[in-house]
Amino acid sequence: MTTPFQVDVDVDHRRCIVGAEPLIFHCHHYNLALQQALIDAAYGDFEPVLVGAAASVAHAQLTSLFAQGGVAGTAERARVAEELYRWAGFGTLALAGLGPEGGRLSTEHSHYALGCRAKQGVSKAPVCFFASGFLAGALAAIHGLPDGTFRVTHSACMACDAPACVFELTPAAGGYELYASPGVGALTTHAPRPIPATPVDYDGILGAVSGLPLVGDAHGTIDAFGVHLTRHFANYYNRISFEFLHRLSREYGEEGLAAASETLVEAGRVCAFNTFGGIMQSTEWNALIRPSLASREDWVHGMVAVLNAFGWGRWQVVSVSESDAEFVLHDDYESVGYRAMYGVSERPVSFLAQGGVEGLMTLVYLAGIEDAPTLDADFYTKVFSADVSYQATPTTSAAMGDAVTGFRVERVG
Amino acid sequence: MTTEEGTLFRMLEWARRNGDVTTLKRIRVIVLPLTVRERIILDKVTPETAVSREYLSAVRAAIRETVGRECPV
Repeated sequence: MTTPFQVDVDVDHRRCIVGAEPLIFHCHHYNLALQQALIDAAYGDFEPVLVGAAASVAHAQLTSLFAQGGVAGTAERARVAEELYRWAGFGTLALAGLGPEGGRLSTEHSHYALGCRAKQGVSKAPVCFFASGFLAGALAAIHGLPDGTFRVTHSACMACDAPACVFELTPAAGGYELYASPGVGALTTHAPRPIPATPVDYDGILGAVSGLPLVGDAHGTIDAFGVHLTRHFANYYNRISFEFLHRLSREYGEEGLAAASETLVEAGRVCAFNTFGGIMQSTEWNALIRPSLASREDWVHGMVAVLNAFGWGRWQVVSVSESDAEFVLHDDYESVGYRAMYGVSERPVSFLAQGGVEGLMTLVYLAGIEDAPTLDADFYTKVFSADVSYQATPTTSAAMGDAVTGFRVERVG
Repeated sequence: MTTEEGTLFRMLEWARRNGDVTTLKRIRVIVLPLTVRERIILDKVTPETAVSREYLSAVRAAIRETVGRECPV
């Protein structure tokens, strides 16, 4: 089925761009873990950040798409927004009942509520901050109004066992923070490093994975690799991650910086464990990639080849063995986003990537991923609290002005 | 007012044993403002660390939230 919007793939920079917004794959485990970090810091009042970050990317993207496609009527604009939301795996929205005066919307399909129930069970409080912000930003864009025009209340949530998620929108300013989305950001000309000898067909895997039909079904769900995937906004992740980092470090100094950094890296490990692990147990992996793998090092190469199709930038293995590894990332989305939003950073900020390379090495060399273990919370705790672990150290950071982001990963213990 | 030494250490040990690998990291974020006020570093707590009753109460609530059970210490 064709989409009523244009999807651009920039293979050179490993980007997927829709309406001038870079979209990247992430699963419900990462989405919930990252959101939980901000909710846990209740003293920081992060709910307006979560909603505002979503409103800003939705408003920017849809405004761009409407201009790009000459979509002028509000009904057609609403259809584009609904389709985009469903296609990206966020759930479903029926926007027909909303107008320039706002309105009430309910849905039985919401990624964050679904993911929360699957991962954590019934929640004490609503969890669909992203959907709230998307709705507010989308409704403003549909009616040609500025971001921040609508206030949104998430009055019922399926994560709390409600029969549907309910959102009420009113034409009133406030309630969430306003941001300017930086779009794609400044990208570099990649100078790829030589790939160590491996039978893994990087280009073939990139082409095959990019061609998989990873789009939302009728319920706006992308069930793949044992997780609920989303084609999410890089600028959403970056905004909420870096606001979390900045606020905790500004208010609470070194302890705040350490707590925020550690939490963001942990979210990356959660992502690797569940998404990378799910991929390395999938029928697609077993059919397309596993037959070419002759060593554990090849498993690392194979997974890195796959995640070059995630929109995260160009990831490369410089060297890999059981004792250590080096990875280089060209235009990693965290560094590109940081520089576009805040300028040059004083410190490395590629937390997802740091947790990701640690998680990948752990899966391959400690968790026995080739034997298809059950990837549940107990196993996560077992492998990541063992005496032996992999620790990644940033060696370079594109956010700090280096040409690439690099990590050295070492086995400790 | 400080509590007897060791209570915080034993509470965190209980949380570590009964929670998952993310539990102590979540607790660190949840009680961060009070940790800074206590002038301690949560991942360097020893059996000799003494803290206020208010802080212990906050850690106890954070354990309940993250582990899902009341800490018996």
